[in-house]
Amino acid sequence: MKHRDTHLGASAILSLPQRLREVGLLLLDCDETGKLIARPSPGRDWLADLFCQAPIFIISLRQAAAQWAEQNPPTPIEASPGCWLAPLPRLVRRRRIGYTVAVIVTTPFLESEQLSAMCQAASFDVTLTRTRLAALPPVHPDAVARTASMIHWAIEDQGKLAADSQVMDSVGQQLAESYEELNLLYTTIQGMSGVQQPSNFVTMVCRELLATLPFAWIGAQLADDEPRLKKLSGELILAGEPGQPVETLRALCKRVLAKVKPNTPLVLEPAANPQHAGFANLGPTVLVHPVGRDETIVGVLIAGEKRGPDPVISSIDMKLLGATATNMAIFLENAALYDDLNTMFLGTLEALTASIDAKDTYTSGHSLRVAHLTRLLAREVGLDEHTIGRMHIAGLVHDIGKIGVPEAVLTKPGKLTEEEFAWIRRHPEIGHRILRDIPQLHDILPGVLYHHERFDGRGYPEGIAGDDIPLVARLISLADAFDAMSSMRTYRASLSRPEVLKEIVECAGTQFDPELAPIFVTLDFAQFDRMAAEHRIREQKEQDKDEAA
Amino acid sequence: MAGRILVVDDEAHILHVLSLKLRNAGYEVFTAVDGEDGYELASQHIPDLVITDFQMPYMTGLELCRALASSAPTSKIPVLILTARGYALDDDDLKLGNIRGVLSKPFSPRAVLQLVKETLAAAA
Repeated sequence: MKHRDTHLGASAILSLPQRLREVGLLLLDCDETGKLIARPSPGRDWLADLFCQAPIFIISLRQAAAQWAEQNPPTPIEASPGCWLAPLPRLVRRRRIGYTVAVIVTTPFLESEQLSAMCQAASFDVTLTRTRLAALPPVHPDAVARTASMIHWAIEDQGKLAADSQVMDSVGQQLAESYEELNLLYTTIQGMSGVQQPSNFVTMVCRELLATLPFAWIGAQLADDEPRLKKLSGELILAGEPGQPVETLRALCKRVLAKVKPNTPLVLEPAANPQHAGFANLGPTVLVHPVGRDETIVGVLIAGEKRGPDPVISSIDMKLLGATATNMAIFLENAALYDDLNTMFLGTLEALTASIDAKDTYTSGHSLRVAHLTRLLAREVGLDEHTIGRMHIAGLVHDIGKIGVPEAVLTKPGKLTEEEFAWIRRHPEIGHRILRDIPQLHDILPGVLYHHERFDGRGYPEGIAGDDIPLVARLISLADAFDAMSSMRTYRASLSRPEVLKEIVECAGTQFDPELAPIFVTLDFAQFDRMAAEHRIREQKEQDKDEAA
Repeated sequence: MAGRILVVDDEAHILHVLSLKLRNAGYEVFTAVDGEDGYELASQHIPDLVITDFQMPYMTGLELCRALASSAPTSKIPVLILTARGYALDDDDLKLGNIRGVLSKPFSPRAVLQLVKETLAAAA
């Protein structure tokens, strides 16, 4: 009965004929010539059997259809005395393809010869059939036109209802898709706000795209001539299941990257376009969008093997991939800028502290090594990555106050006078004063001010003790003492590693935090030794140069 | 002054969204679900503007534009085309005199309304 779908929805087909049958009206479908289609199966409804099995009725339906073909709109016809056929045209694209016919029986039909003939054709008992017909809700002959109109309204209303429900379905489906698209954009933008690893962000974006767009796989191919991408440089990040081994895909994606032009999406159709023949392994339709700003391209987003009923790339696919590519470009740019900034910040700090260390050849590289050890210890203690980074910076700048201590005092061989030692003791406060107006370094300040405090309270500048000494200062204190003991000083030779470690263990609880000291002595000092050796070699070269001059 | 607009699209939700937006802005709106239907309605009502989808069964938006252009009573009706095609329509396709604008899906209904106002103002 699918022909009715054109103007009657699925729900109307099932319910309306049944409901009309309840009030004694039979609905039949015929084509435009009056030929019955989808006739009800015999044995289920005696009224349908009575009409559909009678050749005389089949013929009158065809005759009626011939008359209806001349009418617009077609009107009810009395096919035989008391038996009316009320037609409602079925249309496909405004053309009549047939009729839904309501068979309306009135009293004269009960006594007609046609009824007897029909009963004979269907092997029905005439008397019984007459009784059954008489028991149906009666339609007066004068009421046929009105009844026919009412049936038509009912059918039309059902049709509209079904069409509206189809519109609702379509709007609902579209709304759901729009939500998915919005969600993709929200998720991408939210992902941009947090500080996260670029590779995590790119992976997340590919997965979200795959969940939203009808493609078998989504790939992000990053450029390999873009040093700012760092670890991501030249990488292919994939989501979904490409029909090709990843190695094949890797080579192809690099060629796609080479082919794409700034700000211009590219649709690859290897089968249709000979210029794209080399990309056949990527799938029949591939959508590519460059990732980059202005004229630079840092990568491409590739959507491979379009799926779903429509194999053609849609403008919606393009807009979403394009918007995501823009977001990705902004994120990668920000990540690179952040990285640049951080590198420059650390580099500046290192240069600054190296210039202080350089005042005293014996402390050359001291700040870098203390920063390294502070970081190692912070990690071993179980601090988070961000805090570890901050501890590293604190270690780097802990001695910055020495810039305010006379060079003669710093480099004096032998024992210091009381006055000279007073100068040395002032360097934490000087450092604190230098840095305290930089808001970005506020969390570093305690490390600078308190790194000469002792756990037993006998340190300087304030003589605070135990847990009153901020953690960062307790960490630096260990690193600082370790490096000092390991290095040669103007007043003594360096101690051996076992001697240094022994000293630290012995001073746990007096000079050092008794919980941190045992952890410190278990650290891996290989990198520390490399750094120290490197500095000794550099110093030696400088010295040779100076002597030669 | 509001006008009479014919919207042609085989996607029910587009018809729905656009008719609602245009009716709320005071326009009288007719809708059709394919090019043939659209052409018949256009010939019958001679609207001030036609907005049609590009890809439709039986008669595409472009064929509808050609049909409208080749019949005297409808030849002056300006047409806006909606498209879901990923790549731009050929410039040759858009040379037809009655095409005044192309919008690619998903479009902002507000942007469509703005374009309708401008197109009607230019045609007046």
